Amino acid sequence: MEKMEKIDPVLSLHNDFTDTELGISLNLCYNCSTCSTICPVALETEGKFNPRSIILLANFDYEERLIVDLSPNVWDCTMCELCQEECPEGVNLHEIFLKIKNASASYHNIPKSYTSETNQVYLYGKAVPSQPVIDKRREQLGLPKSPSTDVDEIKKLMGMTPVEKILKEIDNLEKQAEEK
Amino acid sequence: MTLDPKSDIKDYDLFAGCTIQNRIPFLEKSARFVFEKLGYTLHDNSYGCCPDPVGVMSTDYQTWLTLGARNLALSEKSNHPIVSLCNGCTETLKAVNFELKHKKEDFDAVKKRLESVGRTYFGTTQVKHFIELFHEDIGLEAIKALVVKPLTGLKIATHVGCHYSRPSEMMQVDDAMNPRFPAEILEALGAIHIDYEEANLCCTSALARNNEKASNGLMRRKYQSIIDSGAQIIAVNCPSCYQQLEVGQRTMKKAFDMIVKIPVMYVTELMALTFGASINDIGLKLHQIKPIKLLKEFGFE
Repeated sequence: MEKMEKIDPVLSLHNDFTDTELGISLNLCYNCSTCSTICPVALETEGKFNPRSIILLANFDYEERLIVDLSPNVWDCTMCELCQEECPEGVNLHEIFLKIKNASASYHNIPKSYTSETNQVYLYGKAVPSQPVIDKRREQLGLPKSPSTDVDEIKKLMGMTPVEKILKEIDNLEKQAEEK
Repeated sequence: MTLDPKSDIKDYDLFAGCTIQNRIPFLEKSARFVFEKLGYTLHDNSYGCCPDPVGVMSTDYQTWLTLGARNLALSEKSNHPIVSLCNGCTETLKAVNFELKHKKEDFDAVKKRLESVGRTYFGTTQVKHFIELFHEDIGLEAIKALVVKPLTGLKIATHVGCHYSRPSEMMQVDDAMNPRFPAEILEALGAIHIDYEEANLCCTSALARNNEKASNGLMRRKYQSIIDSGAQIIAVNCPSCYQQLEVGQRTMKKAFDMIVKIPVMYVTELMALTFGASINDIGLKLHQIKPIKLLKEFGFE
């Protein structure tokens, strides 16, 4: 079992962006806006969400705004990876956004559908577990039974990563909110 | 362009992915039919979730790496390469191998976790998307040779999906910004491939989880572009895109009173039909937007 220390997500994200390979990549941005021009969500939201502003805020240590206030909201990224491909400076937008999302998740700022999906994996080993009606359909189609997996092993592995704690904390917060 | 050498291996571990296995299994049926015709043997393995490069990776990168490596370790043990039926699963499995090859610290941590449950990971499992395997290893000529009933005259647009070829550094397949393999396969089956303005636009399945309004707006652009192109079918190679583009047609009616009625079909379904499968064999009645009437007009039974 790895030791889980209590980490401040803002500080941790700040460290990820400082004196690291990713931090160097982040520093390469000179604001050319290629990412925001190609981003479909920037187009649809008329720039309210755009990758450039997120990179800019990350570059100027606005980690708190990114993960506490979600302003701009990183979860509006549709993960199409167009910005990652087209950035002329080779800024690793893929990984920078990922770090912001993970930090937001440990700050409990994550859309419900993401944590419910991860929780399904924790409980059943799969994001979409097998269900009797589909098992029957598979049989009708002449398909073999949906292969099972070792759920306990998956649960054990997830217990060695930060995710178990994140899921539990979010679950507790939801229960508290319901009681109120 | 793929970096993997063309291989003569005919035994693959099938990574169908949990969406196909446990929600829309008729897609798996068509894939198994096609692989059998192509002379391949698919093996089942006791994989868990890939896990999803959107939901799980965004929640916790370490979980994503560890569970991805567990699946890859299962195939290292069975000594088969993996063929995946899903863009997302393909991305996870390729990207986990890529990341663990380049990040020593993560490699050591993942290896240690896996060893504690009795598994070993070396990073040797080859992973291919089925489109990549068809196009690169089998080849268009060999596919063409199996066609008994071509898709002559059918106008088909492709939606390839983002995670098939991007990030290109990890995926190493096709032209990352303008993927052509699915279209070339459909042309080999006799179809007329229809290009459209918004071919590269994301299905917005990830965006819909946080911003339904923006997702609907983008989907409207996509559908309008497909309608304007005159395509009769949207061909896909990812179960998330499949669901999003099928369910989205109903959403368009609700959100914009926009009528969209274009069947969405998996590339393997279209292949299976040309290789001699019947509409019934591969469960096409299970689609939400039924392609059956259209296919009958083109002589498919």
